[in-house]
Amino acid sequence: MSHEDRMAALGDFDRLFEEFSAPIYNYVLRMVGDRDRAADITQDTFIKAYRHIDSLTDVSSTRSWIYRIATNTAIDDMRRRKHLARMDDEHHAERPDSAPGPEAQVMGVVLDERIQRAMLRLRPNHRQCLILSDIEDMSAHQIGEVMGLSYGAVRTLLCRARGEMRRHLAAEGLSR
Amino acid sequence: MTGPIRGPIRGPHPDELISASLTNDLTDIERRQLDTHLADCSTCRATLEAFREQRLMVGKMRQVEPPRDLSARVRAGIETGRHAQLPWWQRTSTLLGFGASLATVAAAIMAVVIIGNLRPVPDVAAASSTPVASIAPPVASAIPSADASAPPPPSATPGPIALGIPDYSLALTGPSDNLAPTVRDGATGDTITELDTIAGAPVSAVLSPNGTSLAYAIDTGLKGTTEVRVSSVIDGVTYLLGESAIGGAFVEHLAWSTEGRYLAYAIADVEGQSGTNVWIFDTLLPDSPTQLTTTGNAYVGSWDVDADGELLWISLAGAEPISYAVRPIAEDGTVVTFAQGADTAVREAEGVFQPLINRDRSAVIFWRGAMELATTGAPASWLFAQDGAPYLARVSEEDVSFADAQPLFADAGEGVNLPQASLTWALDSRSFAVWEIGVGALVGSEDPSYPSPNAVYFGHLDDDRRLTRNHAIDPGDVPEGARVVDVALAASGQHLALTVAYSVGDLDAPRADLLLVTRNTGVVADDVEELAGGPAGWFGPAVYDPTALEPVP
Repeated sequence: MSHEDRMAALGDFDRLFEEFSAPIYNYVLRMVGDRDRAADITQDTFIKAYRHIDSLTDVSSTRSWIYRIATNTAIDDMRRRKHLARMDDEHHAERPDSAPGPEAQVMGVVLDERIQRAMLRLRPNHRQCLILSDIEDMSAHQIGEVMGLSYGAVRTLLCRARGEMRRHLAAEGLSR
Repeated sequence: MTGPIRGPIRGPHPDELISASLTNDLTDIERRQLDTHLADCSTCRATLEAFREQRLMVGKMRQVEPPRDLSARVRAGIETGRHAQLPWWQRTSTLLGFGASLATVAAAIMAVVIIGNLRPVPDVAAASSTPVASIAPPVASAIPSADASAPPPPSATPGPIALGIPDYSLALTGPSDNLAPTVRDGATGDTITELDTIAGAPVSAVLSPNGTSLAYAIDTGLKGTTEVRVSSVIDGVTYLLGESAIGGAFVEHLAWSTEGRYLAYAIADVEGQSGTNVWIFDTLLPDSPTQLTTTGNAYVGSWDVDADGELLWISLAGAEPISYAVRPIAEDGTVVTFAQGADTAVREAEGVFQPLINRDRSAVIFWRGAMELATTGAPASWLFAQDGAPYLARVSEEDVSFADAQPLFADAGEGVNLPQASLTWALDSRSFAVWEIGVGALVGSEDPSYPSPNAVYFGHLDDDRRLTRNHAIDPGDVPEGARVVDVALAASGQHLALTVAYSVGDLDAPRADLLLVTRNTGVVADDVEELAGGPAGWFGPAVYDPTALEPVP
């Protein structure tokens, strides 16, 4: 890459980082439930984005493009760390609800902690599409672009995710 | 709101429409159907209210500020190219990010020690800090050949650019090394996921294109059957899809749809009553695999795609085999049962059996010949009896054509019949391998030892010779007394991961090693590295991760 090309790429990248670093960090945080991991994954996401910013030819698809990179990076991380994550989950499960744990430090409020706890009990693909829909406010088509799924598959997945989330929220005393 | 028109409300409660209504993802017809239903159904009104509350609740979760040093960390990563390629266990958050529990930290450290004792990532690109986009596809250097004097290959069409670690692999191991099968990082041996306990040895595996689900077949040993299972690589949830009579390579072929939602597989009825049929497993509706065919002689080929969506090639065995491209999934996601002679096939190809299309849809390998129902085994299974051989054909953008195919074994001569064989494409879409060629039917061959039932033939699409006897990997690559039960080809096309099984007593635990073979040319022997093995375990088969190949995202 020439110096000029590099400077142009850095300029585009700066704007990308400014607009999406906080949303991507929060998206990943909801996915993995741990702020250090979320920071690592967000960092990797933007490094990958920088390296492949040339492949982003359609500006209108920037959002789904960066979310898809983040999604793939998070899934890869979850897959590799699954063994340790399970130990972490067990640690959380033993903690009394009233005691402030890592999530409470992150979220700051008990309600958020309970919602996040319900969310972390979802299967990863259910959690992912629910976050994209209900927090990121994406349509089924946009979620499909991020997750690499068809429109129909997203609708089915979202329905199952909502049903599962309803049960987990009920277990937290937050839903009927 | 416009969108695809989907079917009428099915079942007592249209939860999917209720869910879709929250984000205005309904057609006008669906909206009217839902409104009509809601007027009369208090259960669904309660569901709608609960879903609404839940969406509001989740949407109001507080946003958290990212770390202040995130920008600096990203900058540093871009400048040095380092952090993105650090193995995860070398990052600080692995040790510090799991809370303050001493037990947790101790467990994490233990994991690091274990991993530290294992071998490093064996391939070159993993250690490179070169920006990935500048890595040239390793096509030209990847042509497997035993003939160093062969002319250089024609310049290849660049395949998908390998990202991350091109040879990143997962190995399915167990059950005897730790009582439960595990999915491990092929390079480090690190356990990624533990699966449910299984009764037998995994003999083939395919990772879904989205890298999240692993389909595999298990040889149950003395029981004489093969189990087909799917496990989530992320959370380890496992589904038993069916138990099949051992029917050889044609039955055991597993095919993921292009986006990784559906798995197509064949089940040979253990009792022999209903023959062999094709089934579909939907990862989104995992409790109910659906039978696609009822003909009793149906086998799975490849998924394909046309302008209207995904297709599945299925093949019917017979004296004159035939293949059909069908659209097995309806608009509403239900499986459309195949009926021969009815208007359910988009295409048909006479004389073609089990077409296997490569990942970039540039070529297809399929079988021709006359098949017979071999009744010597129990139950009976379809094998080629006359002129059976695999063929290679190029695929155009418009269509899969079988007309200009050439025999895959270029120098096998006339009169050779291969009853069956296992075949696989590498993720680079260029390399392919053939092994487990059926024994005992090379009648009429000029050389009864070729193609050899014990050899693994490794070819490349850009090698005009296709497969010859020189394309067999070195006989010494496979340990004395072992047999190859599975071959996985690295995404770079440079390595073969072999699962080699050893003969053990009926009461002993099955044993197999996982070997990484790097082909060399001329008189230089292949390099063979043991990825995993030992007297107390079954290691393999390996799968290569398709998501490492996607040109981001």
